[in-house]
Amino acid sequence: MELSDAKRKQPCPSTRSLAGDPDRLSALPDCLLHSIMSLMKARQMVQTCVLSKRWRHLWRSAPCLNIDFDEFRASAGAGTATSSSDSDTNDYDDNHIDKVWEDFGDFAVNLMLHHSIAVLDSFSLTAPVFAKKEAGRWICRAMKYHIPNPVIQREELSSSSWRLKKLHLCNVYLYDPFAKHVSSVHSLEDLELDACTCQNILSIASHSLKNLVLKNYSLRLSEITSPALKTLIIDGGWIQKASPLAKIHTWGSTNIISGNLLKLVCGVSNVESLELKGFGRMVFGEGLTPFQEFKNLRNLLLYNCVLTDDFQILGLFLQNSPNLEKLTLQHCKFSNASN
Amino acid sequence: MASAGSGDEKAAAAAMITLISSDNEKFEVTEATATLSQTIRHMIEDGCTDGGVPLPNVTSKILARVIEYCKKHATAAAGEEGSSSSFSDAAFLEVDRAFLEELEEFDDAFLEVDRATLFDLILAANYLDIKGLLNLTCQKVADSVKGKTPEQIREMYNIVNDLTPEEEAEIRRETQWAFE
Repeated sequence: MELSDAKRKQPCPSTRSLAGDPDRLSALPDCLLHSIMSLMKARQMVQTCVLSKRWRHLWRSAPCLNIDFDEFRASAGAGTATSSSDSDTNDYDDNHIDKVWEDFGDFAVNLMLHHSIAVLDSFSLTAPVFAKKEAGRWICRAMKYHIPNPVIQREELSSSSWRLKKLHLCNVYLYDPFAKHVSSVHSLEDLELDACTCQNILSIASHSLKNLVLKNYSLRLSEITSPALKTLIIDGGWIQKASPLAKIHTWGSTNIISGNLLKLVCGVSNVESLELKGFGRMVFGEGLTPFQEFKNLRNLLLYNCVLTDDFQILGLFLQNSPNLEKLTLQHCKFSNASN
Repeated sequence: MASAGSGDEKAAAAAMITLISSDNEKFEVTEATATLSQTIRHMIEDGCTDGGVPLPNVTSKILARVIEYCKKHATAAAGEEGSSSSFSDAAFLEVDRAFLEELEEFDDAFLEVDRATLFDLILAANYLDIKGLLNLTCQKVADSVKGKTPEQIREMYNIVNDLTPEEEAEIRRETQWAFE
């Protein structure tokens, strides 16, 4: 107690250490150091390997990787006189951005090669906008080759021994096998695709997925088969009346609805939370009849949506959601024409 | 804070738990507060909390801080019972923005501690299995080294570099791709 009382009296800023203080950080058990490292961006996390012997190999088994192009842009910017805080890539001349991109590419490929990716709980990759395809290839390669049992891999069960729970990809071009990988990672619970492109992926199927977030999507996705899905967030996508989104399979029922994205949403009837953000227009076309009952829906959030249909959609949601507990409308526009 | 709260709320008296620190100080807390700790939650479920819960790894000073955190966060946790961490939690709390901001301010102030206390809190949060507190305190450490070079990190945390210059050079060669 004397020690703590003495400490309490001095106004000790938390960022200062006293010379001679023991190294409390390195004294933490591996699991806690991993927790801390998981909150760092990937490059800095790897750089901890030169701190001391204790740290040399820790990064290889860290359970979370967060690879972010910004980490490279920021450090490259800091090193040059022409640094700019603006995140717009146009601020850099071509040579400079090429160099940063090359470093980033080297880093990402090497990291995925040397890290025990199969032990990951969480993986996040934020690529620069201009490199979607390249980044997509890394993902494919990582998923293909970093698998504990390469024999099983060929039998299309490739990623079944992964324990990945959370996957977040930003600005990544998703190649066709991606959907297959998603289905075969049986531990995957959270999937967030932000500004990802996947021209040929028409469906996502997963028995483990609980949270699915599609942001700024330009997907041709037309099917989601996900019986365990609890939360679906569709944020900032565009919606077209004649978009190719078509079929939805959910647990125990198969509905074929032609129409728009909203109907895709309607098909995920087991979902507990539903957020739709940034829809310029929400229109129901023909065939409202197969609107399913959302028997588990508790939270419904519409943000920045235009509800110019005299609340038809909202009404349908309310009618068909017997267990709805919370309805939130934020920044929504309503039509003032009364007809 | 010790032994307080035994008088006023008679109705809640049934759901009070006594926590005993390593230096034998007793803290009486509500079950809702205590069960933010998964470790204690399991003890309660197993019915072994009669006569108090001894926490031999946590000093009274740290336990008082941990309880302070749990009290504040117990109300927040009640709302999102059962939902594991997900992308959407924060969004759904949007409506309770004011409360959320207050909670953030509390967290910021809570982290204004010296480094020894911070590490004690990390260890306590881990032992008691309080996910939010563990994440908060680990984040504080991660933030403190953000953008720092390995040399700066060593200096900050008094990490003794026990690598020979040759070893360090070798490691840097192996992981050159992370230092370019």
